[in-house]
Amino acid sequence: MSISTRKIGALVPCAICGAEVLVPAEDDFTPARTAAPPPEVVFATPTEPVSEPPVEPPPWREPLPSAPQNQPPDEPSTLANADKNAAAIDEDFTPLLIKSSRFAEEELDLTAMVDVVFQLLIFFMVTASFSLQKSIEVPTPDQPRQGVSRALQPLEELQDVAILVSVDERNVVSVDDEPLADLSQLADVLSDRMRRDRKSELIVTAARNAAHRTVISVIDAANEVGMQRIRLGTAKLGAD
Amino acid sequence: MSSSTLFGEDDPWARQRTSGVEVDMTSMIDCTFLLLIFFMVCSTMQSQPDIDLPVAAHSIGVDTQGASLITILAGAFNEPPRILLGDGVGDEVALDEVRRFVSDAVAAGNSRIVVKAEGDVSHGFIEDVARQIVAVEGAQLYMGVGDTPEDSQP
Repeated sequence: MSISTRKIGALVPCAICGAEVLVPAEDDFTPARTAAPPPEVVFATPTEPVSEPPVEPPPWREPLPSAPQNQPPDEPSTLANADKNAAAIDEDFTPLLIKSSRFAEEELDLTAMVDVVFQLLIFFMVTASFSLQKSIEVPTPDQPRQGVSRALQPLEELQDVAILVSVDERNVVSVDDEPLADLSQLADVLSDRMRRDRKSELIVTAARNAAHRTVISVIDAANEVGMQRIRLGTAKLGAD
Repeated sequence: MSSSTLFGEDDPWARQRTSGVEVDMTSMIDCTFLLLIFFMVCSTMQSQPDIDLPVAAHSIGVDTQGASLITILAGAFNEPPRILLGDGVGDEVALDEVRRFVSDAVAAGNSRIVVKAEGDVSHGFIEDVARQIVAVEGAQLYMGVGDTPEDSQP
């Protein structure tokens, strides 16, 4: 049984007998380790009348065998009542628990620290960049080879198995030699060709003067429709 | 049904709601500290260079810590594009010096080469740079792209 240190000096009802008792300070409350309470501990209330009948101990408690029976004759009768009260509660009401409750009540106010931590967290979450560069894998051009090792496939032969997308020097995109009015239609056109012709390969040929932005848009549209293979042709259109 | 009807005047919960009810915030503070440390360690405070990258909706993220970046800026009118060995800043080199840079990067363990080229650069010039890069055995070529306007909106 324990009690908060804030109750020191206050009158509280006893949890066992119901009588009002004065909560002593920790320094004043030094009961003996034995069952006998020290005579200097006073649990009686100052307003309690002297003639009040003593508090009966709980019926389930055995009389303390080592309790001192020899009261000093000059002690007031209030002390006798106090001794009985203390004897009834001292088994559970130990000074060690009072010490621990004092430390439990002393808590740091973490509100300001939590506020600062939340501000820092939000700042880093908003400004965080994880050193990732958005990129796309582009088909790499073949190295120029000479002699018999150089094997070229004509576009007419590849047109049977792949969709040909060409970009001229004016950045006009054509799908199988059919120019597109708008580049945003490319994904839909590619999707239709894939479904109709059952082709899943794309060959991009771009003029040297074509903008890099347009070529990236073509590759992005091919990725959008799920083209399985994208190849980069090196046909020289326009100026070359 | 109101609480006064259920408990009458001696509502034990009404007394507890108004007296000293505290929420234990220990676990929340622990999680907050973990998140804070995570973002402090993982975030980088470097500013992004002003490069007009072509946009793409479908892309992958390449960790720049283990990659080498080459920036290609569109030149002025009738001037060739400029090649910078780095992310927006770096030494400006000629086309034939790219291969040596890529060779050194692959030898150092950075086999991923990210080319951040502005959208106005001609495809032919990009193709020449790409040939220099893929000529080095083990080099993996990626083209840096930007966010689409739909992705940039919160």
